[in-house]
This record gives sequence, C-alpha cells and structure tokens, in this order.
Amino acid sequence: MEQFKAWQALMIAGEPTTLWQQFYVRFYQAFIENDRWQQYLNGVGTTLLVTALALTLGVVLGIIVAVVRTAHDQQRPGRHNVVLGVLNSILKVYVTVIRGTPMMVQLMIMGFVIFSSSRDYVMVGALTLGINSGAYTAEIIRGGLMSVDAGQMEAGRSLGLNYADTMRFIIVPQAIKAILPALGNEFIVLLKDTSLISVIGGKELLYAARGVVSRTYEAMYPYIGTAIIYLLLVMLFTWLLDIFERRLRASDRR
Amino acid sequence: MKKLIALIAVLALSLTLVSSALAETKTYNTVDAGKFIYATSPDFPPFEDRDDNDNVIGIEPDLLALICEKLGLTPEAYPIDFDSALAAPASGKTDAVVSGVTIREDRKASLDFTIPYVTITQAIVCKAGAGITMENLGNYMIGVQSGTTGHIYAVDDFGEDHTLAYDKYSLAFQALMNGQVDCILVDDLVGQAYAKRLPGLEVVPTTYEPEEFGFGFAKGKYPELLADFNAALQELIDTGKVEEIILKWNE
Repeated sequence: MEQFKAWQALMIAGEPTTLWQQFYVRFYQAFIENDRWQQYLNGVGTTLLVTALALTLGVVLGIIVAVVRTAHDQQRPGRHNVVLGVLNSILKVYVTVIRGTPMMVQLMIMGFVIFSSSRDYVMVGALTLGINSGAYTAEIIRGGLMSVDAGQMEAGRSLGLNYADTMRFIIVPQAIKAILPALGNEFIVLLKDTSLISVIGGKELLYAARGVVSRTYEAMYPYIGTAIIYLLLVMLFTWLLDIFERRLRASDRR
Repeated sequence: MKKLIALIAVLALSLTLVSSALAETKTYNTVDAGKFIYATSPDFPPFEDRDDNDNVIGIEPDLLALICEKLGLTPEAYPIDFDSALAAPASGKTDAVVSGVTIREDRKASLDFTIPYVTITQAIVCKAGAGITMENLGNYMIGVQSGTTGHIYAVDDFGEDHTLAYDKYSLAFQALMNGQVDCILVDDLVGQAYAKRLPGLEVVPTTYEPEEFGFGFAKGKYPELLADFNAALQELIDTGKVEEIILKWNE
C-alpha cells in the first residue's frame, strides 16, 4: 500500500520509473486499490447469472421451436396438420426476426422501448439474450433432429413405439451427439454476448471494468484483465463440455 | 577541386534547408501532422452536440476552431463514449480530449490540462415535481454517464446500488424519461440544455463544489503546443469571445 502510494506519486510527478514500478502501480490501481477486485467479482457473478438464465430460456425456447418445426417438416407426404402449420409459420417469423436483427439493436429495443419502465436491468438483459439465443438454439436442435435418418423413426414406429417414445429412446439420443458441439459453441457466444448488456445498465463484468477505467484513466489493465477473465471462463466451460461429450461417446464404436 | 565543389554544394543545400525551416510557420508534432485530433463525446450540449450531418457542434468545437486557426492546425473530432475519450490521448489515438472535461487532480496523472475557461456545478435533473433534492438524493436511482464527475460523486456518496452509468448522457436522459432512473446528476449547463429539449423536466441545484472545464492534452507530449494553446485561449477569454460563444449556445 505504502509502496503503491510512493510509486504512484513518482509517476504523477513525471519522475523516471522502472517498468516494474509502472506495472505494479497500474496493476494495483486496476485491481487492488479500494478493493476493486470485488467489483470484477460481482461483475462475473452477474455475467454467470445472466448466462445461466439466458441459456435455460434459450434451450427451452429452442427445444419447443425445433420440435414443432421438425414435426411439421417431417409429416408424411399428403398429410397436413393445420395447427402445426400455423405454429410453424409463427415460429418461423420469430426465428427470422431474431436472427435477422443485431443483438445490440434487440437490447436497445428491449431496454428502452418494450421494457421502458422496468428497473430490473439485468433481468431485461437476460430475457433479451435468452430470446436471442433461443432462435439460434432452435436451428441447432432442428438440424440435429433432422440429421437422424428418417428410417430410424419409421423403424421405431413399426416396432410399436408411439411418436413420443420413438423420439425419447431413438431419435433424441442420436441427435444429441450432433447437437452438442454446436450447442457448446452457442453457449460460449452467449457467455461473451453478456458483455453487451452494460449498454442498458446491466452491471456485469465489462461495466465493472469500465467503472475502474473511468476512475484510474488507464484502460489497459482493466480491459486486458476482463479479457483474461472471459477467456478463463470460456476455457473452463469448454473443458466441462468436452468431458460431457466424451461421456456420451463412450458407447460409440468408431 | 571536385571535392571543394561538392563541399560547397552540400553547404549551400544545408543552408537552404535551414532557412526554409526557419521561414515556415511553426509545426506541431501532432498525431496527424497539421491536424488537431480530439476525442469527444458529442451528446453533451451545449458543449458538444451532433447536428444532422454528423458534425460535432457546440461551445468547444467553436472555441477550438478559433484557437486552431491561430495555431495553423485543422481540428478534427473523434467521437467516442466519454470514458474512452478520457483515455484516448494517453493511448496515442488523439492529441487531446475536448469533451467538457473537469480539471481534476487524479486526471492530471494521464492528462496535461489547459487553463480553465468555464466554471460549472453539478445539478440534479428530474421530472418536474418529483421533489428530489440534495438531501434525499440517496433514496433514488441516479443516472449518469460513465466516467463523468457526476458518476464519481454518485458512486462515492450514494453507492453503486443507487447509481446507473450509461454510455452516453443521451441514453441516461432517455432512461429518465422512461422512468428507469429517478434523476440525472450532470453539469448544470448540460442539464439545462436537456431540460429545454425534453418536456416536463426540472433542474435542481446541488451543493457540490464548482468545477472548472479545460482541454486535456496527452501527458508530457506537447509542451510547446500546450503553451501556445493556453496563450490563444487566454486571449479569447480576455477579449470576451469565450463568454460570447457560451452565451450564444445557451440561448
């Protein structure tokens, strides 16, 4: 502490300082002075919370959309279920609109137009990210379900299983292996996209870093530190996903 | 003989070079030679604002135009969020930050300030009749722009839980109109400018110390430019030109 004060005074006075002294002072003021690390920690907490909420919402939305759209697309020729048809068109609009507009614009609209009187800034952010992620997840899951050969469904049904059971025991276990890598990718994108919610007042990691920059007038250490924290988080989750994927592959004979 | 001629030629050449260098007007070693690039957050009327053609206009661009004309430089705005604008000169991206910057001791670690040219104080802007004053400010949600003195005061005095920092004051005022924050803590002239544009707002004075605005130059990089700049600015202050420009933009 005393050393920091002494060296900081040197730097402000414009005296010559060693690289180590500069590093020490800048690092100290970016992370340690006034317990600033707590701000980053709170930020990481919000980031993880928003990711978890958005991921859950995204996966739930994605599954609903994917199942309805797959069921619609895989109807036998000549059959046409009206309810499915209507639902399919609605969901198609949802996917088109969400995938066709930038995340930032969606956040601005949700934060300042649709939920313009809400003060739960983080929740609005999580909701927006979840709805956004849902559209992408839906296409990933749909791709997975469609990739399973139609013969598998026919075989299941001809063995006397109903639609739900065939899905549960035959289609989904095969589809999930195709889905997981892309879903993991979407999850990582989502985790990083949480940094955008700072524009509508969500106090996540980047918000904390910007707060520190505006106090210390030194951008390098807070931003590089933030990047490292994101990188570590993503590496951690990639590692967990890898383990999960390996478990699923255990029965593969390839 | 050949050597002698060569020697004379070299001497003559160097002499012409020296004389031409002397004859030229002063050039400053700015980031982009001949230009004065300044970082600014143009959502801070009347100091900086943006017109429909994306030009940065306001008190400070007007002042800069006058000063740079004297110094033989062309001012060029680099519009960016305020907290990034403060850090821009230190990173070597711009020569200075000109964005209604309060001269603060802690900012002097990374910026060399010119002489101050205007004094302002913080003010509270809230919906008319909201009854928010300096005494009960701590009960409300305060909107600010990230990195401003308003941001620093709000966090220091009322805590992170009562402060919400937006990228721009324009967004913060949007949030105030929506009711997402209860009030805005902002420099009084800027608060008045927004209150004129948006309906149903009132400006409440605070008891914070007055602050002085200056232009922030990259630390230690332009001692000569800073001295000349200060001289030109002082002249504008003495002739009343600064006041005239401020009055013009406050109309």
